Amino acid sequence: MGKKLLEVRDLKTHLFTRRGVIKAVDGVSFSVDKNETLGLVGESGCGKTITCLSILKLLPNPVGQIVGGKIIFDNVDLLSKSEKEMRKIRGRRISMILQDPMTSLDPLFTIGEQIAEPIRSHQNLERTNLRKKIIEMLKLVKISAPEARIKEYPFQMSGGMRQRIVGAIALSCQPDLLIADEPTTALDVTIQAQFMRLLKEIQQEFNMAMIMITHDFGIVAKVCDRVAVMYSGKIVESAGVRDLFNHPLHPYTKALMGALPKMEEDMEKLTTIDGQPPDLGHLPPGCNFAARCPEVKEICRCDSPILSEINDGHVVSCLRVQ
Amino acid sequence: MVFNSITQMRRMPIFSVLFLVIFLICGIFGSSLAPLDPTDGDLSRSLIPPFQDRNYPLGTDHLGRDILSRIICGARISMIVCIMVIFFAGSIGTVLALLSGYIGGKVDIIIMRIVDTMLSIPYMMIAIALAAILRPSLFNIIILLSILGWTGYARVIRGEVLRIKDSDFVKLAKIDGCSKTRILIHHIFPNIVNTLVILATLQVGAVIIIESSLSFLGLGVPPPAPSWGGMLADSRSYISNWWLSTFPGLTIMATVLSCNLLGEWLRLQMDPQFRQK
Amino acid sequence: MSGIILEVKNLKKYFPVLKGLVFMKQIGLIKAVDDISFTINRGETFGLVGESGCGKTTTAKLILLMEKITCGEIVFDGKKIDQQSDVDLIEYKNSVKAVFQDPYSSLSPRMRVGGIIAEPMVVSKTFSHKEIRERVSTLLDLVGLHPDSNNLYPHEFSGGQRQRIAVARALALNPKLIILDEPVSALDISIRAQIINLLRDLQNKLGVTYLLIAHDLAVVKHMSKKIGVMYLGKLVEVAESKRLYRNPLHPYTQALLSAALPSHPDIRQEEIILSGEVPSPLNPPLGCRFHTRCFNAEAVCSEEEPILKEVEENHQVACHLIKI
Repeated sequence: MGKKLLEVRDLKTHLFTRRGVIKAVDGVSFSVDKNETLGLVGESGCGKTITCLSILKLLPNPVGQIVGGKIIFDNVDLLSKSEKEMRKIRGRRISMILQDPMTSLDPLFTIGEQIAEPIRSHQNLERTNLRKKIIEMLKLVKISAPEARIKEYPFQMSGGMRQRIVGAIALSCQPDLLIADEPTTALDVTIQAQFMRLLKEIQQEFNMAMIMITHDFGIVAKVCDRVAVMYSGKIVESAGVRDLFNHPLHPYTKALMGALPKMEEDMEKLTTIDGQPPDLGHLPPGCNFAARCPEVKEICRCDSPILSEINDGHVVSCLRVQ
Repeated sequence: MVFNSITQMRRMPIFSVLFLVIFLICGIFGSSLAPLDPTDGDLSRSLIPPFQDRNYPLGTDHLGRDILSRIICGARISMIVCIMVIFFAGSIGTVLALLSGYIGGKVDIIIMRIVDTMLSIPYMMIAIALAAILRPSLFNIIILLSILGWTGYARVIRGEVLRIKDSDFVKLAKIDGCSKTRILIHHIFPNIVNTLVILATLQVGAVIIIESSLSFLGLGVPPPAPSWGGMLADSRSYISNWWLSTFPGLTIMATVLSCNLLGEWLRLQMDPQFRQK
Repeated sequence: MSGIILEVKNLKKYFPVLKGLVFMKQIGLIKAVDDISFTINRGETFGLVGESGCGKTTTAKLILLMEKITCGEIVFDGKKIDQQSDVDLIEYKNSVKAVFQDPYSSLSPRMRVGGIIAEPMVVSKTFSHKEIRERVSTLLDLVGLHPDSNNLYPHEFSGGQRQRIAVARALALNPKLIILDEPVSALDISIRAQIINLLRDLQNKLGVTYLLIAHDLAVVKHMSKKIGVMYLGKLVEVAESKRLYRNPLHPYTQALLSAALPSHPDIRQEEIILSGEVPSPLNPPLGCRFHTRCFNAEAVCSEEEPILKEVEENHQVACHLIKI
């Protein structure tokens, strides 16, 4: 494998609210190599989005605060960077694609202007070169007739096309790392397949690393090289994608996989996880998953498990497995 | 989103609530709370500055009446006007908005054009004209302000009705065969109550200001009944005796500000997105 | 014909497109649903799949009588549904219910759960107070909620629990057919499985029929006996679900299935990536509606509209290139 591009070590991000401190991200560690796609999987509220906002230091101020850990990007700790230095990194070296293509674009500007925005703030290009660059980006995301499209407004485009424009904006400065937050949830099945293939192609071309935030194991199976499963602010299991699908170890991972209906086989019943995720403001002692775990033991309710390596590259945080 | 609801969270405006409670108490028990009779003047004691005579902590006016007592008793008129106007204007506005939004079509067009027309006439001008025709009295002021005030409700609540009409629970109610009346009463009305309360709170301020302005112009509640606007009007000829205008003015300002702050807080509290969390 | 509960014959829904500032002129028709026919068997689940704008939700609205039918007929339980006659209509409305996608907007935030579930019974006026109260607690139990829930407001429940409440309400009058419009797509995976299991259990227990509308192919496959694939207002293929997944015949179905996400990284099916986007339903392409994106379109496809015909038992396709 290539060398580490991003390493997150024991990241702790808390949300300080009137109702108390919410430990949204509680000791998360992972790394992404160059040219690799990491899937960050979990249900809503598990902290996967907050983790990625922490990397970009775009947490809601003053509610969200990074209270511990290190985020090492290309051998530099991002947490020691000032806001001004971060601005040079965002958009240029680390980019992000958000879920909803309908609200990610400003309805009042043409798409040409919107793609020009990050290029202008990071690179010095003349008008003609800028135009050339914009058209090049539109071609990259496979928009037909880019010369004409450049003057169009977002409302003139369909959801799939808008998401490709969002992609073009994110990729315009050839970032080293792209964070995609559920980029295809709002898209139709065939459009989703188009977009996923496009992302993969661009990744190959630019030698780019990707973090794919998703709740869908199907997307993981399709595009990711490695997976980290998150539950209530912690990573519970992380492994290579084949390893994880063949030998899921953590009960939560197993349950999530069993909960998905599969096309290839007929199943009478889906596995379910009873109950609800715990309230992150008042976590019980022991393992966060203990209350819903089908394989729970007495020790799980009092001791917190730690992430430990079971075999090469496969780490899991479960007292039963260890 | 999570963030919005957290940053939007605000403390209850305690001072506003406290002040409004005092306002209500004064309005209900005004005459028995006032230290002196608000209409009983003593010309030998006219124009005493505030904080000098123990009996007249806020001084006296040109007729020797106690300003503190007049402010306390003046609360009653403001309160009666507010409550009645909010009741009438709110009812007219809500009923018309429900019909307009839910039935739609021609009914909607007619009601909304009336609203547009009402909103395009300068408020003060129509108030002065009507007040001149109707002769100033408490009852006429209430009628006048209600006629002027319902349009605000109609406009905002119609928007809410249109939004709620499209939600799935109304569709499901239709599938279950609920009648139009049932949908309006059981499904739509309960969901606009929040908006109604907020609008009412915000209207308190507007009503007090207009009532005072009319009294100031001599078109409000006729003297000698104490009213805050009337006190301001009386003070016009005594500009050098600052306390005559300052204290009623401050009272009006504080009441209106309290209502608006409380209304704003209620708006955030009752935001459905906020409540769902 | 006792096996068939719902038959839809040549159903059409056209929306006029109006333009003009003062005098509105009709400038075209959006053919949201254009001549579709299918049947649903009693106690089974019929899945309707397709991408956004293909007309599957409009079909549901037509069956629920929420929109006026432009043309065609609905035969329910052997009776033709006439939108004019009142008596039959009430009976029909009581036997056909719906569960929608968004569990947040489908429950009135100002009503207690008990009131929400009881409403269809209150409106039908054939139940006494005592019966309603008993029925509400039976229903709560049926969908796996605590009987004390009936005094709470919807905001005290999570998305999955709210969807259970919506299901309980739909079941209140013992309907024969429930239309499920994307019932699980707004839910998290683990909760999604709970609701899918619940719906299947209820079908086994009560014998209720479902018309399932969803875009997630795996969910539709898991729940349905028969599946209809829609594209631009047309039904392009109808088949038993196993047969459809094993042997999709229409090129659009093939593309749709190949675009579905794999359940294991080692499954690498051949991907058919369709070029372009779905054309506008305002001016749909002549001939076969799919020919603009079809990978093996021939001359005939752009000239003549294919009709849905039976190619093998329980398998109908609308494509010129499939020869019987």
